[in-house]
Amino acid sequence: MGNADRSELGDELTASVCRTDPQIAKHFARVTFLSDHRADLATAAARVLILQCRDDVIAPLSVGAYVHDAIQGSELVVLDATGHCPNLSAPEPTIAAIKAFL
Amino acid sequence: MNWDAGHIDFEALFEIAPCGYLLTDKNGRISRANKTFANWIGRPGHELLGLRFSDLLPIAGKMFYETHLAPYLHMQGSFIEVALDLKGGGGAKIPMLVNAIEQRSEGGIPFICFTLFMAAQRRAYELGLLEERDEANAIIAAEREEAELREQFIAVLGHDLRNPLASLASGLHLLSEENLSERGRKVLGLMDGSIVRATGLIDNVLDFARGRLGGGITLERDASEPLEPVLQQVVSELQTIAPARSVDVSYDLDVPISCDRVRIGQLLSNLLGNALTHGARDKPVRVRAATNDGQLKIVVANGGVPIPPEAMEHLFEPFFRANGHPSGKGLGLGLHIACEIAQAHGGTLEVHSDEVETVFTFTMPLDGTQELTA
Repeated sequence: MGNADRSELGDELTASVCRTDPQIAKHFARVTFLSDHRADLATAAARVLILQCRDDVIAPLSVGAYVHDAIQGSELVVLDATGHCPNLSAPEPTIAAIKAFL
Repeated sequence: MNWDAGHIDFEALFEIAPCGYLLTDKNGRISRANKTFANWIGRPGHELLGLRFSDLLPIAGKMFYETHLAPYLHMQGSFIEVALDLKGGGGAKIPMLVNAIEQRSEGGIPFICFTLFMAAQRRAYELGLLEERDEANAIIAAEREEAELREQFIAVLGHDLRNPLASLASGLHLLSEENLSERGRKVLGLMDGSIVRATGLIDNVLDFARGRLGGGITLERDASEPLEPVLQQVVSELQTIAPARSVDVSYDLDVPISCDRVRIGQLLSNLLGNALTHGARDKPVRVRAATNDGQLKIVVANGGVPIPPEAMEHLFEPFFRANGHPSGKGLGLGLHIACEIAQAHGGTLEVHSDEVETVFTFTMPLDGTQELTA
C-alpha cells in the first residue's frame, strides 16, 4: 500500500500527522475558526490564481466564487478534484493550472 | 448462519462483526455500512449510503479529516488508531477509534475500508486523566505562588528585624562601657552572643529568600584588604556564644585573596556555629585557613558523634536537619547558604565525618584575582 515512489512526501506527512499535538491543534482550531480576513481580499496587490476543488467539504464552490468576486482581476480555476488538498489528490491538474497561470 | 469449520458465512460475519465497517469510494463516499456500525451510530444503513465519511463528523473532526487524515490516507494508504467523534442519529457525539485502508488493487476499482471501534469508556478515562493532570498543575501553580509569597514575607521580615537588632547591639555596646557588676558583665556577654546568633540566622534567611526569589548570592569580590581579620572577628563573636569551648585556630594566608570577605566570614560563621552546636563539648573545634597551591582552604573540624550516612546526601539542602539529632537548633539553612557561597566563589564545600571527627572543607581557586584585574 501507499505511494512508494513518493516516500519523501509521505514521511513528511507522517511526521505532520504525528505532530498533531493537542496544543498545536488548539491553536490551529482557534486560527481556523475565529479569524475572518474577508476584508483583506480586496487589498491583494499581486496577480491571483484561485484553485478551487469541485468537491471540498471545507471550502465548497461558493467560497472560490466569493474570493474570485472580491479580488479584482483574479483568475478562478475549478479543479476536478475531491478534498481540501488538490496538490495531493490531483497533482497533475493542479500543476497544469499553476503552469498555465505563470 | 452456519459456523462449521468448512463454511464460514463471511457476508454475515461482515454484518455482525464486533466492529463497525464502512466501505467508501476513493473520495470517501459511503457505498456500504455494516449493521454493527449502523446500530452504534443509531442511523439506518441505507441513510448512510452516498454520504461522505467526513459528513459523519462534527465540524472540528471534519476539518481534521479533510486537512490531515484524508491527505495522509491518500499518501500512506492507511491510518490506524485515530480518535474521532462521530455524529450519532440523535445528534450525540459518539467517541470512536478509527482505522482505514485504501485498497488500490491492480485494475480494480479503488476503495477505502474503515473499521470503527467504540471508545466511549477509553475517552472518558483519558478525559479523566487530563482533568486530573490539569487539576494537579493548578494546585502546583497555586502552591508555587503561595511559596513565593511566603518567601517574600520571610525576606521582608528578615530585613525589618535587622534594625531593632542593630539598636540592641549598640545599646549593649554603650552598656558595656558602664561600671557593671560581675554578674552584669556575664549577662551582657550572653546577650551579645544571642545577638550574634540572631544576626547570623537573619543573614541566612535573607540569603535563602533572595536565592529563591531569583536574586541568588551576589558577591563583592575585592583582594585589597586582608581576609584574616574578618575570620578572627567571626571566631571571637562565636566564642562569646560558647565561652567554655576551646577553639584551636590557625591562619596561613600570605597572598591577596579575591573574595567577598563578608560572605567568606558568613561561611565560616555557619560552619563554626554548627561545629560548636553539634560537636562534642569536651573536644576542641579546629579552624584552619590557608592559601596553598593557588587555593584558599578553610577547614572546620569537630569531634563527637559522626553525621549518620543517610543524612550525608541531604546535608546541604535547605531546611535539612539531621533527624533525631539531640540539638535540633536553627533553621537548617546554615550549610545550604555556606555551600551557595562556596559555589558563588567557584569553589566547593566538602564534608567528611567519622568516629574521630567531622570535617567541613571549603576550597576555592585563587585565580579569581586575575578575573578582578582583567
